[in-house]
Amino acid sequence: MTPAGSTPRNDAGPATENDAELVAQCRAGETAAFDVLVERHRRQVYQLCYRFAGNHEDASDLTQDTFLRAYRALGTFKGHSAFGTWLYRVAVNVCLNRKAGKRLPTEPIDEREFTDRGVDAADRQVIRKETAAVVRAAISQLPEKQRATMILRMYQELPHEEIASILGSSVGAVKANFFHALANLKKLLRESER
Amino acid sequence: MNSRAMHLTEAELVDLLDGTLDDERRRHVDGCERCAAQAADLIATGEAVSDGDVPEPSPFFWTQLSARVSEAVAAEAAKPRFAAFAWAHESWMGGAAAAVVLCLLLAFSVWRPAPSTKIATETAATAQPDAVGDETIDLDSDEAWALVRSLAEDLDEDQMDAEGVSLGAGAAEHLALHLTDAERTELARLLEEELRKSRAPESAS
Repeated sequence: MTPAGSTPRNDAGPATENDAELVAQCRAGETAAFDVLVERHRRQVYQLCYRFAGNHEDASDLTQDTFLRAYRALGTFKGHSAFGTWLYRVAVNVCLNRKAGKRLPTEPIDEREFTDRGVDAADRQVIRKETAAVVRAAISQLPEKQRATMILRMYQELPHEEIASILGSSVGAVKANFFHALANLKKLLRESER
Repeated sequence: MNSRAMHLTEAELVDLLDGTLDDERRRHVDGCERCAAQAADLIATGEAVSDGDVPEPSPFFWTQLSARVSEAVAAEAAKPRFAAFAWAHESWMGGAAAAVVLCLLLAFSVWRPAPSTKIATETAATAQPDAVGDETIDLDSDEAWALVRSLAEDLDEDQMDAEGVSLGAGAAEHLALHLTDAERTELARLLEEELRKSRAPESAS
Protein backbone atom coordinates (compact mmCIF):
# COMPACT_ATOMS: atom_id res chain seq x y z
CA MET A 1 0.00 0.00 0.00
CA THR A 2 1.42 3.30 -0.96
CA PRO A 3 0.38 6.90 -0.95
CA ALA A 4 -1.56 8.15 -3.94
CA GLY A 5 0.65 8.88 -6.86
CA SER A 6 3.52 6.55 -5.99
CA THR A 7 4.22 3.15 -7.45
CA PRO A 8 2.31 0.38 -5.67
CA ARG A 9 4.54 -2.21 -4.08
CA ASN A 10 2.79 -5.47 -4.82
CA ASP A 11 3.67 -8.67 -3.07
CA ALA A 12 1.13 -10.58 -5.07
CA GLY A 13 2.03 -11.29 -8.56
CA PRO A 14 0.29 -11.87 -11.78
CA ALA A 15 -2.89 -9.76 -11.44
CA THR A 16 -2.63 -6.90 -13.87
CA GLU A 17 -5.81 -5.02 -13.01
CA ASN A 18 -5.33 -1.86 -11.03
CA ASP A 19 -6.97 -1.47 -7.65
CA ALA A 20 -9.90 0.55 -8.98
CA GLU A 21 -10.72 -2.17 -11.50
CA LEU A 22 -10.54 -4.82 -8.79
CA VAL A 23 -12.83 -2.79 -6.55
CA ALA A 24 -15.33 -2.54 -9.42
CA GLN A 25 -15.17 -6.31 -9.87
CA CYS A 26 -15.77 -6.82 -6.13
CA ARG A 27 -18.81 -4.59 -6.31
CA ALA A 28 -20.09 -6.69 -9.18
CA GLY A 29 -19.97 -9.67 -6.85
CA GLU A 30 -16.61 -11.20 -7.78
CA THR A 31 -15.18 -11.94 -4.35
CA ALA A 32 -12.07 -13.41 -6.00
CA ALA A 33 -11.08 -9.86 -6.97
CA PHE A 34 -10.96 -8.99 -3.29
CA ASP A 35 -8.50 -11.85 -2.75
CA VAL A 36 -6.14 -10.07 -5.15
CA LEU A 37 -6.53 -6.81 -3.26
CA VAL A 38 -5.75 -8.65 -0.02
CA GLU A 39 -2.61 -10.19 -1.49
CA ARG A 40 -1.52 -6.85 -2.84
CA HIS A 41 -1.94 -4.91 0.40
CA ARG A 42 -1.69 -7.48 3.19
CA ARG A 43 1.95 -6.87 4.07
CA GLN A 44 1.58 -3.12 4.40
CA VAL A 45 -1.64 -3.44 6.41
CA TYR A 46 -0.05 -6.05 8.68
CA GLN A 47 2.99 -3.86 9.29
CA LEU A 48 0.78 -0.90 10.13
CA CYS A 49 -1.29 -3.03 12.51
CA TYR A 50 1.84 -4.50 14.09
CA ARG A 51 3.16 -1.04 14.85
CA PHE A 52 -0.10 -0.22 16.62
CA ALA A 53 -0.48 -3.58 18.36
CA GLY A 54 3.12 -4.38 19.18
CA ASN A 55 2.69 -8.14 18.79
CA HIS A 56 2.02 -10.63 16.04
CA GLU A 57 -1.19 -12.19 17.37
CA ASP A 58 -3.08 -8.93 17.66
CA ALA A 59 -1.58 -7.56 14.46
CA SER A 60 -2.87 -10.63 12.67
CA ASP A 61 -6.40 -10.17 14.09
CA LEU A 62 -6.39 -6.46 13.32
CA THR A 63 -5.26 -7.12 9.75
CA GLN A 64 -8.05 -9.63 9.20
CA ASP A 65 -10.55 -7.24 10.76
CA THR A 66 -9.32 -4.40 8.54
CA PHE A 67 -9.88 -6.37 5.35
CA LEU A 68 -13.28 -7.61 6.45
CA ARG A 69 -14.42 -4.10 7.34
CA ALA A 70 -12.99 -2.78 4.09
CA TYR A 71 -14.95 -5.41 2.18
CA ARG A 72 -18.15 -4.45 3.97
CA ALA A 73 -17.54 -0.78 3.24
CA LEU A 74 -16.44 -1.17 -0.40
CA GLY A 75 -19.71 0.39 -1.49
CA THR A 76 -18.64 3.61 0.19
CA PHE A 77 -15.23 3.81 -1.52
CA LYS A 78 -15.70 6.70 -3.92
CA GLY A 79 -12.28 6.54 -5.55
CA HIS A 80 -11.41 10.10 -4.48
CA SER A 81 -8.17 8.75 -3.07
CA ALA A 82 -6.09 5.68 -3.88
CA PHE A 83 -7.54 2.42 -2.61
CA GLY A 84 -4.41 1.97 -0.48
CA THR A 85 -4.95 5.29 1.26
CA TRP A 86 -8.57 4.44 1.93
CA LEU A 87 -7.51 1.06 3.28
CA TYR A 88 -5.04 2.80 5.60
CA ARG A 89 -7.89 4.85 6.95
CA VAL A 90 -9.89 1.70 7.65
CA ALA A 91 -6.85 0.08 9.29
CA VAL A 92 -6.10 3.09 11.49
CA ASN A 93 -9.72 3.22 12.61
CA VAL A 94 -9.73 -0.48 13.40
CA CYS A 95 -6.47 -0.15 15.36
CA LEU A 96 -7.54 2.97 17.26
CA ASN A 97 -10.95 1.55 18.10
CA ARG A 98 -9.44 -1.68 19.34
CA LYS A 99 -6.81 0.20 21.31
CA ALA A 100 -9.49 2.40 22.84
CA GLY A 101 -11.17 -0.73 24.13
CA LYS A 102 -8.25 -2.56 25.54
CA ARG A 103 -4.53 -2.09 25.84
CA LEU A 104 -2.79 -4.65 23.72
CA PRO A 105 0.33 -6.21 25.19
CA THR A 106 3.59 -5.55 23.38
CA GLU A 107 5.84 -8.51 22.80
CA PRO A 108 8.29 -8.87 25.69
CA ILE A 109 11.86 -7.93 24.94
CA ASP A 110 14.10 -10.87 25.69
CA GLU A 111 16.23 -9.90 28.70
CA ARG A 112 19.03 -12.11 27.48
CA GLU A 113 19.38 -9.84 24.47
CA PHE A 114 20.40 -7.03 26.77
CA THR A 115 23.46 -8.63 28.27
CA ASP A 116 26.50 -6.50 27.66
CA ARG A 117 28.77 -7.85 24.99
CA GLY A 118 31.20 -6.69 22.38
CA VAL A 119 29.94 -5.38 19.08
CA ASP A 120 31.22 -7.80 16.49
CA ALA A 121 29.69 -8.58 13.14
CA ALA A 122 27.81 -11.59 14.45
CA ASP A 123 25.99 -9.50 17.03
CA ARG A 124 24.90 -6.75 14.71
CA GLN A 125 21.70 -8.46 13.73
CA VAL A 126 20.77 -9.06 17.37
CA ILE A 127 21.52 -5.46 18.28
CA ARG A 128 19.40 -4.26 15.38
CA LYS A 129 16.52 -6.39 16.64
CA GLU A 130 16.99 -5.06 20.17
CA THR A 131 16.92 -1.48 18.93
CA ALA A 132 13.80 -2.09 16.87
CA ALA A 133 12.06 -3.68 19.87
CA VAL A 134 13.01 -0.77 22.15
CA VAL A 135 11.78 1.73 19.57
CA ARG A 136 8.47 -0.12 19.11
CA ALA A 137 8.00 -0.25 22.88
CA ALA A 138 8.64 3.49 23.13
CA ILE A 139 6.21 4.24 20.31
CA SER A 140 3.54 2.17 22.04
CA GLN A 141 3.73 4.57 24.99
CA LEU A 142 2.97 7.66 22.92
CA PRO A 143 -0.47 9.28 23.11
CA GLU A 144 -2.86 7.93 20.45
CA LYS A 145 -2.65 10.72 17.85
CA GLN A 146 1.11 11.10 18.20
CA ARG A 147 1.55 7.35 17.81
CA ALA A 148 -0.67 7.23 14.73
CA THR A 149 1.11 10.22 13.20
CA MET A 150 4.56 8.78 13.91
CA ILE A 151 3.67 5.40 12.39
CA LEU A 152 2.07 6.85 9.29
CA ARG A 153 4.82 9.41 8.71
CA MET A 154 7.99 7.62 9.73
CA TYR A 155 7.24 4.07 8.66
CA GLN A 156 4.50 4.25 6.07
CA GLU A 157 6.06 7.44 4.70
CA LEU A 158 2.76 9.14 4.00
CA PRO A 159 2.74 12.88 3.32
CA HIS A 160 1.34 15.10 6.07
CA GLU A 161 -1.71 15.95 3.96
CA GLU A 162 -2.64 12.30 3.63
CA ILE A 163 -2.12 11.66 7.33
CA ALA A 164 -4.37 14.64 8.09
CA SER A 165 -7.05 13.12 5.88
CA ILE A 166 -6.74 9.71 7.53
CA LEU A 167 -6.80 11.06 11.08
CA GLY A 168 -9.41 13.71 10.41
CA SER A 169 -7.18 16.56 11.53
CA SER A 170 -5.37 19.52 9.97
CA VAL A 171 -1.91 19.44 8.41
CA GLY A 172 -0.73 21.82 11.15
CA ALA A 173 -1.98 19.42 13.83
CA VAL A 174 -0.24 16.52 12.11
CA LYS A 175 3.07 18.41 12.06
CA ALA A 176 2.65 19.40 15.70
CA ASN A 177 1.87 15.80 16.66
CA PHE A 178 4.91 14.60 14.75
CA PHE A 179 7.13 17.15 16.49
CA HIS A 180 5.85 16.19 19.95
CA ALA A 181 6.04 12.48 19.11
CA LEU A 182 9.74 12.86 18.31
CA ALA A 183 10.34 14.94 21.45
CA ASN A 184 8.56 12.34 23.61
CA LEU A 185 10.39 9.48 21.94
CA LYS A 186 13.70 11.11 22.73
CA LYS A 187 12.75 11.12 26.43
CA LEU A 188 11.40 7.57 26.34
CA LEU A 189 14.49 6.22 24.61
CA ARG A 190 16.73 7.96 27.14
CA GLU A 191 14.76 6.39 29.99
CA SER A 192 15.05 2.96 28.40
CA GLU A 193 18.85 3.34 28.30
CA ARG A 194 19.03 3.72 32.08
CA MET B 1 10.54 41.38 14.57
CA ASN B 2 10.78 40.08 11.01
CA SER B 3 10.14 36.44 10.18
CA ARG B 4 13.84 35.70 9.74
CA ALA B 5 14.59 36.77 13.31
CA MET B 6 11.83 34.57 14.78
CA HIS B 7 12.68 31.10 16.02
CA LEU B 8 11.34 28.17 14.04
CA THR B 9 7.88 26.95 14.96
CA GLU B 10 7.19 23.25 15.55
CA ALA B 11 5.75 22.94 12.05
CA GLU B 12 8.79 24.66 10.55
CA LEU B 13 11.13 22.33 12.40
CA VAL B 14 9.22 19.41 10.90
CA ASP B 15 9.51 21.07 7.47
CA LEU B 16 13.25 21.37 8.04
CA LEU B 17 13.38 17.66 8.81
CA ASP B 18 11.43 16.98 5.60
CA GLY B 19 13.67 19.30 3.59
CA THR B 20 10.77 21.54 2.64
CA LEU B 21 11.60 24.61 4.73
CA ASP B 22 12.02 27.72 2.60
CA ASP B 23 15.47 29.21 2.11
CA GLU B 24 14.94 32.33 4.20
CA ARG B 25 13.92 30.32 7.27
CA ARG B 26 16.72 27.88 6.63
CA ARG B 27 19.20 30.76 6.77
CA HIS B 28 17.78 31.62 10.19
CA VAL B 29 18.75 28.16 11.44
CA ASP B 30 22.31 28.69 10.22
CA GLY B 31 22.64 31.72 12.46
CA CYS B 32 20.54 30.59 15.45
CA GLU B 33 22.09 28.25 17.99
CA ARG B 34 18.78 27.42 19.63
CA CYS B 35 17.00 26.42 16.42
CA ALA B 36 20.07 24.56 15.13
CA ALA B 37 20.23 22.57 18.39
CA GLN B 38 16.51 21.76 18.23
CA ALA B 39 16.82 20.68 14.62
CA ALA B 40 19.85 18.49 15.39
CA ASP B 41 17.90 16.89 18.24
CA LEU B 42 14.94 16.11 16.01
CA ILE B 43 17.13 14.70 13.27
CA ALA B 44 19.00 12.48 15.75
CA THR B 45 15.77 11.15 17.26
CA GLY B 46 14.32 10.61 13.79
CA GLU B 47 17.37 8.56 12.85
CA ALA B 48 17.23 6.59 16.09
CA VAL B 49 13.62 5.56 15.60
CA SER B 50 13.86 4.96 11.86
CA ASP B 51 15.24 1.51 12.57
CA GLY B 52 11.99 0.11 13.93
CA ASP B 53 11.52 -2.81 11.58
CA VAL B 54 8.54 -5.08 12.08
CA PRO B 55 9.61 -8.73 12.45
CA GLU B 56 8.80 -10.66 9.30
CA PRO B 57 6.23 -13.38 10.01
CA SER B 58 6.67 -16.87 8.62
CA PRO B 59 5.98 -17.28 4.89
CA PHE B 60 3.01 -19.51 5.76
CA PHE B 61 1.40 -16.66 7.65
CA TRP B 62 0.53 -14.74 4.48
CA THR B 63 -1.20 -17.74 2.96
CA GLN B 64 -3.10 -18.39 6.18
CA LEU B 65 -4.08 -14.75 6.49
CA SER B 66 -5.38 -14.61 2.92
CA ALA B 67 -7.32 -17.84 3.46
CA ARG B 68 -8.89 -16.51 6.67
CA VAL B 69 -9.88 -13.23 5.05
CA SER B 70 -11.23 -15.03 1.98
CA GLU B 71 -13.31 -17.31 4.19
CA ALA B 72 -14.67 -14.38 6.21
CA VAL B 73 -15.48 -12.45 3.03
CA ALA B 74 -17.26 -15.45 1.52
CA ALA B 75 -19.31 -15.80 4.70
CA GLU B 76 -20.08 -12.08 4.57
CA ALA B 77 -21.12 -12.27 0.94
CA ALA B 78 -23.45 -15.17 1.72
CA LYS B 79 -25.17 -13.34 4.59
CA PRO B 80 -28.76 -12.23 4.02
CA ARG B 81 -28.79 -8.49 4.28
CA PHE B 82 -30.93 -6.46 6.61
CA ALA B 83 -33.81 -5.23 4.45
CA ALA B 84 -33.44 -1.55 5.27
CA PHE B 85 -29.67 -1.78 4.97
CA ALA B 86 -30.03 -3.25 1.49
CA TRP B 87 -32.41 -0.66 0.13
CA ALA B 88 -30.43 2.19 1.62
CA HIS B 89 -27.43 0.94 -0.35
CA GLU B 90 -29.26 0.11 -3.53
CA SER B 91 -30.98 3.43 -3.82
CA TRP B 92 -29.12 6.66 -4.38
CA MET B 93 -29.19 8.58 -1.14
CA GLY B 94 -30.13 12.16 -1.93
CA GLY B 95 -28.47 15.19 -0.40
CA ALA B 96 -31.47 15.88 1.81
CA ALA B 97 -31.39 12.35 3.20
CA ALA B 98 -27.66 12.61 3.81
CA ALA B 99 -28.21 15.85 5.68
CA VAL B 100 -30.85 14.20 7.85
CA VAL B 101 -28.53 11.31 8.64
CA LEU B 102 -25.71 13.70 9.48
CA CYS B 103 -27.94 15.80 11.73
CA LEU B 104 -29.18 12.72 13.59
CA LEU B 105 -25.67 11.37 14.07
CA LEU B 106 -24.40 14.73 15.28
CA ALA B 107 -27.42 15.13 17.54
CA PHE B 108 -26.83 11.69 19.02
CA SER B 109 -23.18 12.44 19.59
CA VAL B 110 -24.00 15.47 21.75
CA TRP B 111 -27.50 14.62 22.96
CA ARG B 112 -28.78 11.29 24.12
CA PRO B 113 -32.37 10.29 24.88
CA ALA B 114 -33.53 10.82 28.45
CA PRO B 115 -32.46 7.66 30.20
CA SER B 116 -35.18 5.35 31.38
CA THR B 117 -34.35 3.12 34.31
CA LYS B 118 -33.48 0.33 31.91
CA ILE B 119 -31.21 2.53 29.80
CA ALA B 120 -29.54 3.99 32.87
CA THR B 121 -28.69 0.50 34.08
CA GLU B 122 -27.35 -0.51 30.71
CA THR B 123 -25.30 2.67 30.45
CA ALA B 124 -23.72 2.00 33.81
CA ALA B 125 -22.82 -1.48 32.67
CA THR B 126 -21.38 -0.43 29.32
CA ALA B 127 -19.54 2.52 30.87
CA GLN B 128 -17.13 0.07 32.47
CA PRO B 129 -13.93 0.19 30.44
CA ASP B 130 -13.60 -3.57 30.68
CA ALA B 131 -17.07 -4.09 29.31
CA VAL B 132 -16.24 -1.96 26.27
CA GLY B 133 -12.88 -3.62 25.89
CA ASP B 134 -14.40 -7.07 25.93
CA GLU B 135 -16.80 -5.88 23.25
CA THR B 136 -19.91 -7.08 25.00
CA ILE B 137 -21.73 -5.19 22.23
CA ASP B 138 -21.37 -7.35 19.15
CA LEU B 139 -21.49 -4.58 16.58
CA ASP B 140 -20.81 -6.93 13.72
CA SER B 141 -23.99 -8.91 14.24
CA ASP B 142 -26.18 -6.02 15.31
CA GLU B 143 -28.48 -5.35 12.35
CA ALA B 144 -29.75 -2.04 13.67
CA TRP B 145 -26.19 -0.87 14.03
CA ALA B 146 -25.28 -2.14 10.57
CA LEU B 147 -27.77 0.36 9.16
CA VAL B 148 -26.38 3.26 11.21
CA ARG B 149 -22.83 2.41 10.30
CA SER B 150 -23.52 2.01 6.60
CA LEU B 151 -25.36 5.31 6.42
CA ALA B 152 -22.61 7.11 8.28
CA GLU B 153 -20.09 5.63 5.86
CA ASP B 154 -22.21 6.76 2.91
CA LEU B 155 -21.91 10.38 3.91
CA ASP B 156 -19.79 12.22 1.39
CA GLU B 157 -16.77 13.40 3.38
CA ASP B 158 -15.74 15.95 0.78
CA GLN B 159 -19.20 17.47 0.90
CA MET B 160 -19.14 17.45 4.71
CA ASP B 161 -15.71 19.08 4.76
CA ALA B 162 -16.95 21.69 2.32
CA GLU B 163 -19.83 22.41 4.67
CA GLY B 164 -17.37 22.72 7.53
CA VAL B 165 -18.81 19.71 9.35
CA SER B 166 -16.91 16.59 10.22
CA LEU B 167 -17.70 13.57 12.32
CA GLY B 168 -14.04 12.61 12.28
CA ALA B 169 -12.50 9.29 11.38
CA GLY B 170 -14.31 6.30 12.92
CA ALA B 171 -16.95 8.51 14.48
CA ALA B 172 -19.71 5.98 13.88
CA GLU B 173 -17.77 3.20 15.60
CA HIS B 174 -16.74 5.53 18.41
CA LEU B 175 -20.36 6.58 18.88
CA ALA B 176 -21.46 2.95 18.94
CA LEU B 177 -19.24 2.19 21.90
CA HIS B 178 -20.90 4.96 23.86
CA LEU B 179 -24.52 4.09 23.07
CA THR B 180 -26.57 1.45 24.81
CA ASP B 181 -28.40 -1.23 22.84
CA ALA B 182 -31.66 0.68 23.30
CA GLU B 183 -30.11 3.95 22.12
CA ARG B 184 -28.56 2.31 19.10
CA THR B 185 -31.86 0.75 18.11
CA GLU B 186 -33.62 4.08 18.58
CA LEU B 187 -31.04 5.87 16.42
CA ALA B 188 -31.46 3.25 13.71
CA ARG B 189 -35.24 3.62 13.89
CA LEU B 190 -35.03 7.40 13.55
CA LEU B 191 -32.61 7.16 10.63
CA GLU B 192 -34.78 4.63 8.85
CA GLU B 193 -37.88 6.73 9.38
CA GLU B 194 -36.19 9.94 8.16
CA LEU B 195 -34.70 8.19 5.15
CA ARG B 196 -38.08 6.77 4.17
CA LYS B 197 -39.55 10.26 4.39
CA SER B 198 -36.78 11.83 2.33
CA ARG B 199 -36.94 9.01 -0.17
CA ALA B 200 -40.66 9.32 -0.75
CA PRO B 201 -40.49 12.51 -2.89
CA GLU B 202 -37.69 10.97 -5.00
CA SER B 203 -39.81 7.89 -5.66
CA ALA B 204 -42.79 10.04 -6.53
CA SER B 205 -40.87 12.17 -9.03
